[in-house]
Amino acid sequence: MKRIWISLGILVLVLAGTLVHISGVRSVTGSITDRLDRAEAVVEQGDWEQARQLTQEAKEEWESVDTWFAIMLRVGDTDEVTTGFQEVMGFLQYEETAEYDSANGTLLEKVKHLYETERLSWTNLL
Amino acid sequence: MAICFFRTIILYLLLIVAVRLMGKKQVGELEPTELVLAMLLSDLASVPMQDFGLPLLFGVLPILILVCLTMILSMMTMKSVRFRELVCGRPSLVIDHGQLLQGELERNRLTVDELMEELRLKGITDFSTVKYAILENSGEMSIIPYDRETAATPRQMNMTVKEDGLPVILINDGRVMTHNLKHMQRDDRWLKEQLSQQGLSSVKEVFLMTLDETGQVNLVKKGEKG
Repeated sequence: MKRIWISLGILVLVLAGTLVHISGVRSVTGSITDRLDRAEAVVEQGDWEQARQLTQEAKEEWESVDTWFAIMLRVGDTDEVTTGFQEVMGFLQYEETAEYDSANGTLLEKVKHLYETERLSWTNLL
Repeated sequence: MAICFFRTIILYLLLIVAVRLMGKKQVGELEPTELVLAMLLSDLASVPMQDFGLPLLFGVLPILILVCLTMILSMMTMKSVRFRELVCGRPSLVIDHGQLLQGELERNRLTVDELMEELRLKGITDFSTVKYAILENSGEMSIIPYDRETAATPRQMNMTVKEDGLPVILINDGRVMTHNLKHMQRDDRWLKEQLSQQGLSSVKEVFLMTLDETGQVNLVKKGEKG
């Protein structure tokens, strides 16, 4: 009987861990996309400095969870976000509006995609 | 990761149902839950081993979940007879007092050729000489002939025979099996006496020494034919 309880306990722990992970991914990706959205909005107003700062904050937040995401998510997905940030930062530096919009849009989609693939839904399950 | 958790559970249960539906012949020595675990484990371990793009957890987590589920199901099959029947099935009687039970053969998708093959493997050519043939959960066929078809046992002949008992290895290639020695309630002094009776001075000279429950010692010296 002890083995059943240990096994059940491990299963419950794993499930709880995965739910905490999903919640964490939602929170981090939500915060990053929020910053990237705001950066895009201030670029439209011509405030490149503010956009650089917001994107830099988003990049730092991304780097702070780098190890966690590398352990829990597909390496290809996380690598794409890392290179996406470098691309966006480059366009922000040279203040290229069209290229920035395109690169930032792609980065936003990639960050959102991380949560989309992790969240509990019938689409993902099936 | 939660998707991985639920997918693992769904696929595991689905595979158990599939193995049960495949019938007893496919199961072999293992329980359906263990067979499914064995089927899945090797693949699960090899995927993150080869694909560096996948985190190690993608292999570790499903393995952990499967082992826990197998443990739970195995314990439940031990505790509940009904659950055991559901997961492992129940033995099927395919020959009853020399009569073929065609319904059971059909239910187990066992052809007459396969049944006859099993009988021949047990040295039986005529199924009417079989009292019971039971297809076990493991897929093995237990064949019990009529008593009149089997060799008479000493008990049936009212004879008394000497029981040899199970021989236990005391010395294995010059090494003393102390656990076995203790189990047989013997000590080093007794062992030395036995060796000296055989003209030996050290256990290193012994290749094999066994002792059975009746106290019979069997000793093979090194370099000697056993």
